[in-house]
Amino acid sequence: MKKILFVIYQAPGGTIWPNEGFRTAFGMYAEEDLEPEVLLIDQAAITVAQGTEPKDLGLLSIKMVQRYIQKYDTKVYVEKESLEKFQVPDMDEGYVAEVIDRASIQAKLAEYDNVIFM
Amino acid sequence: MFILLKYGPENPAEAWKLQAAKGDDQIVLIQNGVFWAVSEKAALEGKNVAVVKADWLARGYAEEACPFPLVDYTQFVELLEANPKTMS
Repeated sequence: MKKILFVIYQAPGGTIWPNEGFRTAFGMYAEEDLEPEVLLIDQAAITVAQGTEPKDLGLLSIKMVQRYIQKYDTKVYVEKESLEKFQVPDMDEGYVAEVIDRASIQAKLAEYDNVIFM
Repeated sequence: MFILLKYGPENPAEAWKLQAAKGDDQIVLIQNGVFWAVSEKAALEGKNVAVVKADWLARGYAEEACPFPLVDYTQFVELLEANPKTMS
């Protein structure tokens, strides 16, 4: 089993990258021997905020990814330092995201065959 | 692990990658990533760094001014093949 971590670092409002990151991760399930996971850092951390929804601006919904996270049981991490930096007040449980500090996730990177920033 | 930096120091993802780099990781600076070797050289000290020669020269820098080994595209591929795990 090949493990791939998709690291998303750009905001869901004004960029397409959080949607693209999740979409690409879900696409990995087409191959039986790939296990994708997603990490949200920097501005992308606001993705998990309860109130974040680009659809309200007439853009593509980000919350639409939640049903696929739950369907595929995709592991989602969000960096603690980024949540604090961007003052995310409350997390939407629909992302089933695990909060992890930077030192812990960086120590885990060796577990992955590929780490892809988007 | 093979770590590719393609954006300059202003990019938060590249800084994050660099912070995560271990001593035995192979870091390669490509495209605007070469600016790390210019303005943030101290952040790379003690790390295993190579710079893509074509991108270094294309930005007006002299070959002898590069503080790290320069690699051509063939050597770039060899480094990539030598490190099956990647962060890019």
